[in-house]
Amino acid sequence: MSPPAALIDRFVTAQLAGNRREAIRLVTDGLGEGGAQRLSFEELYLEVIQAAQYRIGELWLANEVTIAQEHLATAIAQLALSHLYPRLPRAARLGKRVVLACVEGELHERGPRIMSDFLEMGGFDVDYLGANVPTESLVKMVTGRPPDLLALSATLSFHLPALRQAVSEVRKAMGRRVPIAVGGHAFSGSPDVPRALDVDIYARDAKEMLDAVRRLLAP
Amino acid sequence: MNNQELADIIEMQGQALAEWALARMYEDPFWDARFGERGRRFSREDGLTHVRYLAEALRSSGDTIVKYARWLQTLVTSRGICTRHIDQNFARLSEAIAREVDDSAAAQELLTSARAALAYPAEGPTAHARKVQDASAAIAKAWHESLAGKPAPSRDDLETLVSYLADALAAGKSAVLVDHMKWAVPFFAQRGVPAARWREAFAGLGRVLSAHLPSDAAAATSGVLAAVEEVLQPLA
Repeated sequence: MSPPAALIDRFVTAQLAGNRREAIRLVTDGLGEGGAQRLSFEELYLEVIQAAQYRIGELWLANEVTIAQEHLATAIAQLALSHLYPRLPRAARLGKRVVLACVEGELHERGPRIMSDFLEMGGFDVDYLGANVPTESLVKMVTGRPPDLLALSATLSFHLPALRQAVSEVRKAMGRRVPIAVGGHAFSGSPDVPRALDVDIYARDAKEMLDAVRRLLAP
Repeated sequence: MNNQELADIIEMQGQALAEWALARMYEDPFWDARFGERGRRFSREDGLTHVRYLAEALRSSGDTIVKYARWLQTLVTSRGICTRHIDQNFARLSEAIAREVDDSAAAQELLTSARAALAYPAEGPTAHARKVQDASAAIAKAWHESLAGKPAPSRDDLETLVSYLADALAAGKSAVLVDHMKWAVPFFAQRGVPAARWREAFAGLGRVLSAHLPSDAAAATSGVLAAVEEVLQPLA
Protein backbone atom coordinates (compact mmCIF):
# COMPACT_ATOMS: atom_id res chain seq x y z
CA MET A 1 0.00 0.00 0.00
CA SER A 2 1.57 3.24 -1.14
CA PRO A 3 0.88 6.32 0.92
CA PRO A 4 -1.80 8.48 -0.63
CA ALA A 5 -0.55 11.72 -2.15
CA ALA A 6 -2.98 13.47 0.20
CA LEU A 7 -0.94 12.26 3.17
CA ILE A 8 2.20 13.90 1.79
CA ASP A 9 0.20 17.09 1.14
CA ARG A 10 -1.10 17.10 4.70
CA PHE A 11 2.35 16.40 6.12
CA VAL A 12 3.88 19.27 4.08
CA THR A 13 1.07 21.57 5.21
CA ALA A 14 1.70 20.65 8.84
CA GLN A 15 5.44 21.23 8.37
CA LEU A 16 4.98 24.66 6.84
CA ALA A 17 2.42 25.64 9.46
CA GLY A 18 4.85 24.58 12.18
CA ASN A 19 2.19 22.19 13.43
CA ARG A 20 4.22 19.59 15.25
CA ARG A 21 1.24 17.80 16.76
CA GLU A 22 -0.47 17.39 13.40
CA ALA A 23 2.74 16.06 11.83
CA ILE A 24 3.09 13.48 14.61
CA ARG A 25 -0.58 12.57 14.37
CA LEU A 26 -0.15 11.94 10.64
CA VAL A 27 2.77 9.55 11.06
CA THR A 28 1.05 7.85 14.00
CA ASP A 29 -2.04 7.39 11.85
CA GLY A 30 0.25 6.10 9.12
CA LEU A 31 1.34 3.34 11.47
CA GLY A 32 -2.29 2.34 11.87
CA GLU A 33 -2.27 3.39 15.53
CA GLY A 34 -5.28 5.63 15.03
CA GLY A 35 -7.15 2.84 13.27
CA ALA A 36 -6.20 4.20 9.82
CA GLN A 37 -4.73 2.13 7.04
CA ARG A 38 -1.32 0.89 7.97
CA LEU A 39 1.82 1.89 6.06
CA SER A 40 5.18 0.23 6.39
CA PHE A 41 8.00 2.05 8.15
CA GLU A 42 9.82 2.14 4.83
CA GLU A 43 6.85 3.87 3.23
CA LEU A 44 6.56 6.37 6.06
CA TYR A 45 10.25 7.14 6.01
CA LEU A 46 10.82 7.33 2.26
CA GLU A 47 7.48 8.04 0.70
CA VAL A 48 6.05 10.40 3.28
CA ILE A 49 8.74 12.13 5.35
CA GLN A 50 11.48 12.09 2.74
CA ALA A 51 9.09 12.85 -0.12
CA ALA A 52 7.71 15.77 1.89
CA GLN A 53 11.23 17.10 2.47
CA TYR A 54 12.00 16.88 -1.23
CA ARG A 55 8.90 18.93 -1.88
CA ILE A 56 9.93 21.49 0.73
CA GLY A 57 13.31 21.65 -0.99
CA GLU A 58 11.64 22.32 -4.33
CA LEU A 59 9.50 25.06 -2.77
CA TRP A 60 12.61 26.68 -1.34
CA LEU A 61 14.38 26.43 -4.69
CA ALA A 62 11.45 28.19 -6.38
CA ASN A 63 11.50 30.88 -3.65
CA GLU A 64 8.07 29.87 -2.42
CA VAL A 65 9.27 29.21 1.11
CA THR A 66 12.04 30.98 3.00
CA ILE A 67 15.10 29.37 4.55
CA ALA A 68 13.49 29.91 7.96
CA GLN A 69 10.36 28.03 6.84
CA GLU A 70 12.51 25.29 5.37
CA HIS A 71 14.33 24.94 8.71
CA LEU A 72 11.01 24.82 10.55
CA ALA A 73 9.83 22.06 8.22
CA THR A 74 13.10 20.16 8.59
CA ALA A 75 12.88 20.32 12.38
CA ILE A 76 9.40 18.82 12.16
CA ALA A 77 10.61 16.06 9.85
CA GLN A 78 13.35 15.28 12.40
CA LEU A 79 10.74 15.21 15.14
CA ALA A 80 8.65 12.76 13.14
CA LEU A 81 11.68 10.53 12.64
CA SER A 82 12.36 10.66 16.39
CA HIS A 83 8.76 9.72 17.03
CA LEU A 84 9.06 6.67 14.79
CA TYR A 85 12.44 5.60 16.12
CA PRO A 86 11.31 3.80 19.32
CA ARG A 87 8.62 2.03 17.31
CA LEU A 88 10.95 0.60 14.67
CA PRO A 89 10.60 -3.13 14.14
CA ARG A 90 14.10 -4.45 14.67
CA ALA A 91 15.55 -7.69 13.37
CA ALA A 92 17.59 -9.74 15.84
CA ARG A 93 20.90 -8.04 16.58
CA LEU A 94 23.71 -9.23 14.36
CA GLY A 95 26.53 -7.97 16.55
CA LYS A 96 27.86 -5.85 13.69
CA ARG A 97 28.56 -2.18 14.19
CA VAL A 98 28.29 0.50 11.53
CA VAL A 99 29.63 4.03 11.93
CA LEU A 100 27.71 6.43 9.72
CA ALA A 101 28.66 10.06 9.10
CA CYS A 102 28.24 13.02 6.80
CA VAL A 103 31.64 14.07 5.49
CA GLU A 104 33.34 17.26 6.58
CA GLY A 105 31.38 20.32 5.47
CA GLU A 106 28.23 18.39 4.61
CA LEU A 107 25.23 19.67 6.55
CA HIS A 108 22.47 17.60 4.96
CA GLU A 109 21.83 14.81 7.38
CA ARG A 110 18.31 13.55 6.80
CA GLY A 111 19.37 10.86 4.32
CA PRO A 112 22.03 9.27 6.52
CA ARG A 113 19.77 9.56 9.55
CA ILE A 114 17.11 7.56 7.74
CA MET A 115 19.84 5.15 6.68
CA SER A 116 20.84 4.70 10.33
CA ASP A 117 17.31 3.71 11.24
CA PHE A 118 17.11 1.30 8.30
CA LEU A 119 20.34 -0.34 9.42
CA GLU A 120 18.96 -0.67 12.94
CA MET A 121 15.80 -2.26 11.57
CA GLY A 122 18.13 -4.69 9.78
CA GLY A 123 19.73 -5.72 13.10
CA PHE A 124 22.90 -3.63 12.88
CA ASP A 125 24.26 -1.51 15.72
CA VAL A 126 24.74 2.04 14.47
CA ASP A 127 26.88 4.92 15.66
CA TYR A 128 25.34 7.82 13.79
CA LEU A 129 27.60 10.86 13.88
CA GLY A 130 25.36 13.31 12.01
CA ALA A 131 26.42 16.30 9.91
CA ASN A 132 29.83 17.76 9.11
CA VAL A 133 32.20 15.30 10.79
CA PRO A 134 35.80 16.52 10.60
CA THR A 135 37.91 13.95 8.76
CA GLU A 136 40.65 13.92 11.37
CA SER A 137 38.19 13.24 14.16
CA LEU A 138 36.45 10.55 12.11
CA VAL A 139 39.74 8.76 11.51
CA LYS A 140 40.52 8.91 15.23
CA MET A 141 37.20 7.30 16.05
CA VAL A 142 37.53 4.60 13.41
CA THR A 143 41.06 3.69 14.43
CA GLY A 144 40.26 3.84 18.16
CA ARG A 145 37.39 1.42 17.90
CA PRO A 146 37.18 -0.04 14.41
CA PRO A 147 33.61 -0.63 13.24
CA ASP A 148 32.54 -3.47 10.95
CA LEU A 149 31.66 -0.83 8.36
CA LEU A 150 32.16 2.89 7.87
CA ALA A 151 29.40 4.55 5.85
CA LEU A 152 29.92 8.06 4.48
CA SER A 153 27.35 10.41 3.05
CA ALA A 154 27.65 13.45 0.78
CA THR A 155 24.70 15.40 -0.55
CA LEU A 156 26.29 18.27 -2.50
CA SER A 157 28.77 17.22 -5.14
CA PHE A 158 31.27 19.84 -4.06
CA HIS A 159 31.66 17.81 -0.85
CA LEU A 160 33.01 14.87 -2.84
CA PRO A 161 36.60 16.11 -2.34
CA ALA A 162 36.01 15.83 1.43
CA LEU A 163 34.60 12.35 0.91
CA ARG A 164 37.63 11.28 -1.15
CA GLN A 165 39.85 12.70 1.57
CA ALA A 166 38.02 10.76 4.30
CA VAL A 167 38.21 7.50 2.32
CA SER A 168 41.88 8.01 1.66
CA GLU A 169 42.71 8.87 5.29
CA VAL A 170 40.79 5.88 6.63
CA ARG A 171 42.49 3.57 4.11
CA LYS A 172 45.86 5.00 5.10
CA ALA A 173 45.17 4.34 8.77
CA MET A 174 43.28 1.04 8.57
CA GLY A 175 44.04 -0.51 5.20
CA ARG A 176 41.16 -2.75 4.18
CA ARG A 177 40.33 -3.82 7.72
CA VAL A 178 37.40 -1.42 7.79
CA PRO A 179 35.09 -1.74 4.79
CA ILE A 180 33.71 1.57 3.52
CA ALA A 181 30.30 2.33 2.07
CA VAL A 182 29.35 5.59 0.35
CA GLY A 183 26.08 7.11 -0.72
CA GLY A 184 24.15 10.33 -1.08
CA HIS A 185 22.75 12.72 -3.63
CA ALA A 186 26.24 13.97 -4.52
CA PHE A 187 26.75 10.85 -6.61
CA SER A 188 23.64 11.25 -8.70
CA GLY A 189 25.33 13.45 -11.32
CA SER A 190 28.57 11.48 -11.17
CA PRO A 191 27.91 7.75 -11.59
CA ASP A 192 31.60 7.05 -12.22
CA VAL A 193 32.82 8.52 -8.95
CA PRO A 194 32.08 5.48 -6.76
CA ARG A 195 34.00 3.22 -9.14
CA ALA A 196 37.02 5.48 -8.93
CA LEU A 197 36.86 5.47 -5.13
CA ASP A 198 38.46 2.68 -3.19
CA VAL A 199 35.23 1.64 -1.47
CA ASP A 200 33.37 -1.60 -0.85
CA ILE A 201 29.80 -0.42 -1.28
CA TYR A 202 28.07 2.26 -3.24
CA ALA A 203 24.28 2.37 -3.10
CA ARG A 204 21.80 4.74 -4.69
CA ASP A 205 19.22 4.67 -1.90
CA ALA A 206 18.53 3.42 1.61
CA LYS A 207 17.00 0.11 0.55
CA GLU A 208 19.85 -0.68 -1.83
CA MET A 209 22.34 0.25 0.87
CA LEU A 210 20.72 -2.01 3.46
CA ASP A 211 20.77 -4.94 1.00
CA ALA A 212 24.44 -4.33 0.18
CA VAL A 213 25.42 -4.03 3.85
CA ARG A 214 23.57 -7.27 4.59
CA ARG A 215 25.40 -9.06 1.77
CA LEU A 216 28.74 -7.80 3.04
CA LEU A 217 28.33 -8.21 6.80
CA ALA A 218 25.57 -10.77 7.31
CA PRO A 219 25.47 -13.04 4.27
CA MET B 1 47.60 18.30 -17.88
CA ASN B 2 44.89 15.83 -16.92
CA ASN B 3 41.52 16.88 -15.58
CA GLN B 4 42.44 16.02 -12.01
CA GLU B 5 45.44 18.36 -12.12
CA LEU B 6 43.39 21.04 -13.83
CA ALA B 7 40.72 20.71 -11.12
CA ASP B 8 43.36 21.13 -8.41
CA ILE B 9 44.79 24.24 -10.05
CA ILE B 10 41.38 25.79 -10.62
CA GLU B 11 40.41 25.08 -7.03
CA MET B 12 43.67 26.50 -5.74
CA GLN B 13 43.19 29.69 -7.77
CA GLY B 14 39.46 29.69 -7.15
CA GLN B 15 39.40 32.84 -5.07
CA ALA B 16 41.38 34.88 -7.61
CA LEU B 17 39.36 33.53 -10.55
CA ALA B 18 36.08 34.29 -8.83
CA GLU B 19 37.28 37.78 -7.85
CA TRP B 20 38.30 38.58 -11.42
CA ALA B 21 34.91 37.48 -12.69
CA LEU B 22 33.19 39.41 -9.89
CA ALA B 23 35.03 42.62 -10.77
CA ARG B 24 33.92 42.31 -14.42
CA MET B 25 30.38 41.56 -13.29
CA TYR B 26 30.21 44.68 -11.15
CA GLU B 27 31.28 46.90 -14.03
CA ASP B 28 27.58 46.75 -14.85
CA PRO B 29 25.87 49.20 -12.43
CA PHE B 30 22.84 46.90 -12.37
CA TRP B 31 24.29 44.65 -9.67
CA ASP B 32 25.08 47.27 -7.05
CA ALA B 33 21.87 49.14 -7.76
CA ARG B 34 19.71 46.04 -7.63
CA PHE B 35 21.21 44.01 -4.78
CA GLY B 36 23.61 46.34 -2.91
CA GLU B 37 26.29 45.15 -0.52
CA ARG B 38 24.40 41.99 0.44
CA GLY B 39 24.25 41.08 -3.25
CA ARG B 40 27.99 41.53 -3.56
CA ARG B 41 28.51 39.11 -0.69
CA PHE B 42 26.21 36.53 -2.28
CA SER B 43 27.81 37.04 -5.69
CA ARG B 44 31.22 36.39 -4.17
CA GLU B 45 29.97 33.18 -2.52
CA ASP B 46 28.24 32.12 -5.74
CA GLY B 47 31.41 32.70 -7.75
CA LEU B 48 33.35 30.39 -5.44
CA THR B 49 30.56 27.82 -5.59
CA HIS B 50 30.71 27.85 -9.41
CA VAL B 51 34.44 27.14 -9.16
CA ARG B 52 33.93 24.28 -6.70
CA TYR B 53 31.28 22.64 -8.86
CA LEU B 54 33.45 23.09 -11.92
CA ALA B 55 36.42 21.47 -10.19
CA GLU B 56 34.27 18.55 -9.09
CA ALA B 57 32.85 18.21 -12.60
CA LEU B 58 36.41 17.97 -13.94
CA ARG B 59 37.24 15.20 -11.48
CA SER B 60 34.17 13.11 -12.20
CA SER B 61 32.63 12.36 -15.52
CA GLY B 62 28.84 12.68 -15.69
CA ASP B 63 26.59 15.66 -15.77
CA THR B 64 27.46 17.38 -12.48
CA ILE B 65 27.87 20.78 -14.13
CA VAL B 66 24.69 20.48 -16.20
CA LYS B 67 22.65 19.57 -13.13
CA TYR B 68 24.24 22.42 -11.22
CA ALA B 69 23.45 24.93 -13.98
CA ARG B 70 19.78 23.92 -14.06
CA TRP B 71 19.50 23.89 -10.28
CA LEU B 72 21.09 27.35 -10.14
CA GLN B 73 18.74 28.59 -12.85
CA THR B 74 15.66 27.67 -10.81
CA LEU B 75 17.23 29.10 -7.67
CA VAL B 76 18.19 32.51 -9.01
CA THR B 77 15.46 33.16 -11.56
CA SER B 78 12.98 33.03 -8.70
CA ARG B 79 15.05 35.63 -6.86
CA GLY B 80 15.34 38.55 -9.27
CA ILE B 81 18.20 37.38 -11.48
CA CYS B 82 17.63 36.19 -15.06
CA THR B 83 19.07 33.28 -17.02
CA ARG B 84 21.14 35.63 -19.17
CA HIS B 85 22.92 36.82 -16.03
CA ILE B 86 23.94 33.26 -15.15
CA ASP B 87 25.09 32.70 -18.69
CA GLN B 88 27.23 35.84 -18.48
CA ASN B 89 28.63 34.71 -15.13
CA PHE B 90 29.69 31.36 -16.57
CA ALA B 91 31.19 33.13 -19.59
CA ARG B 92 33.22 35.45 -17.33
CA LEU B 93 34.48 32.52 -15.27
CA SER B 94 35.48 30.75 -18.47
CA GLU B 95 37.35 33.85 -19.59
CA ALA B 96 39.08 34.15 -16.21
CA ILE B 97 40.25 30.54 -16.44
CA ALA B 98 41.40 30.97 -20.04
CA ARG B 99 43.49 33.97 -18.98
CA GLU B 100 44.99 32.51 -15.83
CA VAL B 101 45.31 28.76 -16.36
CA ASP B 102 47.27 27.18 -19.21
CA ASP B 103 45.91 24.15 -20.96
CA SER B 104 42.43 24.65 -19.50
CA ALA B 105 40.27 23.79 -22.50
CA ALA B 106 38.49 21.01 -20.57
CA ALA B 107 37.23 23.51 -18.00
CA GLN B 108 36.04 25.87 -20.69
CA GLU B 109 34.22 23.03 -22.45
CA LEU B 110 32.42 22.19 -19.22
CA LEU B 111 31.36 25.80 -18.78
CA THR B 112 30.15 25.81 -22.37
CA SER B 113 27.99 22.78 -21.59
CA ALA B 114 26.75 24.50 -18.42
CA ARG B 115 25.74 27.52 -20.51
CA ALA B 116 24.02 25.29 -23.05
CA ALA B 117 22.08 23.64 -20.21
CA LEU B 118 20.47 27.00 -19.48
CA ALA B 119 18.38 26.63 -22.63
CA TYR B 120 14.97 25.47 -21.41
CA PRO B 121 13.76 22.08 -22.68
CA ALA B 122 12.08 22.58 -26.06
CA GLU B 123 9.31 20.13 -25.20
CA GLY B 124 6.73 20.32 -22.45
CA PRO B 125 5.84 23.24 -20.20
CA THR B 126 8.96 25.27 -21.07
CA ALA B 127 8.50 25.02 -24.87
CA HIS B 128 7.35 28.64 -25.23
CA ALA B 129 10.12 29.93 -22.99
CA ARG B 130 12.61 28.10 -25.17
CA LYS B 131 11.26 29.71 -28.31
CA VAL B 132 11.72 33.13 -26.70
CA GLN B 133 15.28 32.20 -25.68
CA ASP B 134 16.13 30.99 -29.17
CA ALA B 135 14.89 34.22 -30.73
CA SER B 136 16.08 36.55 -27.97
CA ALA B 137 18.89 38.27 -29.90
CA ALA B 138 16.61 38.91 -32.88
CA ILE B 139 13.79 40.06 -30.59
CA ALA B 140 16.09 42.48 -28.76
CA LYS B 141 17.43 43.84 -32.05
CA ALA B 142 13.97 44.42 -33.50
CA TRP B 143 12.68 45.82 -30.22
CA HIS B 144 15.60 48.24 -30.04
CA GLU B 145 15.03 49.36 -33.63
CA SER B 146 11.35 49.92 -32.89
CA LEU B 147 12.37 52.37 -30.15
CA ALA B 148 14.79 54.32 -32.32
CA GLY B 149 14.78 58.09 -32.13
CA LYS B 150 13.64 58.37 -28.54
CA PRO B 151 15.36 57.67 -25.21
CA ALA B 152 15.51 53.90 -24.82
CA PRO B 153 17.50 51.28 -22.98
CA SER B 154 20.42 49.74 -24.83
CA ARG B 155 19.90 46.68 -26.99
CA ASP B 156 21.85 44.72 -24.41
CA ASP B 157 19.51 45.84 -21.62
CA LEU B 158 16.54 44.90 -23.76
CA GLU B 159 17.95 41.44 -24.37
CA THR B 160 18.19 41.03 -20.60
CA LEU B 161 14.51 41.95 -20.30
CA VAL B 162 13.71 39.31 -22.92
CA SER B 163 15.55 36.81 -20.74
CA TYR B 164 13.34 37.76 -17.78
CA LEU B 165 10.36 37.23 -20.06
CA ALA B 166 11.56 33.72 -20.96
CA ASP B 167 12.13 32.94 -17.28
CA ALA B 168 8.64 34.17 -16.42
CA LEU B 169 7.17 31.85 -19.06
CA ALA B 170 9.28 28.89 -17.90
CA ALA B 171 8.26 29.36 -14.28
CA GLY B 172 4.65 30.11 -15.19
CA LYS B 173 4.95 33.28 -13.07
CA SER B 174 4.40 36.71 -14.60
CA ALA B 175 5.87 38.11 -11.38
CA VAL B 176 9.36 37.20 -12.57
CA LEU B 177 9.21 39.99 -15.16
CA VAL B 178 6.69 42.19 -13.35
CA ASP B 179 8.78 42.42 -10.17
CA HIS B 180 11.85 43.16 -12.19
CA MET B 181 10.10 45.99 -14.06
CA LYS B 182 8.87 47.52 -10.79
CA TRP B 183 12.52 47.89 -9.89
CA ALA B 184 13.84 48.61 -13.39
CA VAL B 185 11.57 51.53 -14.32
CA PRO B 186 13.01 53.93 -11.69
CA PHE B 187 16.50 52.53 -12.35
CA PHE B 188 16.28 53.38 -16.05
CA ALA B 189 14.59 56.70 -15.29
CA GLN B 190 17.82 57.75 -13.56
CA ARG B 191 19.58 56.79 -16.76
CA GLY B 192 17.48 58.90 -19.05
CA VAL B 193 14.61 56.57 -19.97
CA PRO B 194 11.43 58.25 -18.69
CA ALA B 195 9.02 55.98 -16.83
CA ALA B 196 6.29 57.02 -19.26
CA ARG B 197 8.28 55.50 -22.12
CA TRP B 198 7.86 51.93 -20.96
CA ARG B 199 4.19 51.43 -21.80
CA GLU B 200 4.89 52.31 -25.40
CA ALA B 201 8.03 50.17 -25.30
CA PHE B 202 6.13 47.10 -24.09
CA ALA B 203 3.41 47.65 -26.66
CA GLY B 204 6.21 47.57 -29.21
CA LEU B 205 7.59 44.39 -27.66
CA GLY B 206 4.20 42.74 -28.14
CA ARG B 207 4.38 43.50 -31.88
CA VAL B 208 7.99 42.30 -32.10
CA LEU B 209 7.12 39.04 -30.34
CA SER B 210 4.23 38.43 -32.74
CA ALA B 211 6.61 38.91 -35.65
CA HIS B 212 9.43 36.73 -34.28
CA LEU B 213 7.66 33.86 -32.53
CA PRO B 214 5.31 31.12 -33.69
CA SER B 215 1.75 32.17 -32.90
CA ASP B 216 1.32 29.81 -29.90
CA ALA B 217 4.48 31.11 -28.23
CA ALA B 218 3.56 34.73 -28.96
CA ALA B 219 0.11 34.12 -27.49
CA ALA B 220 1.71 32.60 -24.37
CA THR B 221 3.61 35.85 -23.75
CA SER B 222 0.46 37.98 -23.78
CA GLY B 223 -0.46 37.17 -20.17
CA VAL B 224 2.96 38.24 -18.93
CA LEU B 225 2.86 41.43 -21.01
CA ALA B 226 -0.61 42.25 -19.69
CA ALA B 227 0.63 41.85 -16.12
CA VAL B 228 3.57 44.15 -16.89
CA GLU B 229 1.20 46.70 -18.44
CA GLU B 230 -0.74 46.78 -15.19
CA VAL B 231 2.28 47.83 -13.17
CA LEU B 232 3.54 50.26 -15.81
CA GLN B 233 0.33 52.24 -15.79
CA PRO B 234 0.69 53.72 -12.28
CA LEU B 235 4.46 54.07 -12.68
CA ALA B 236 3.98 56.16 -15.79
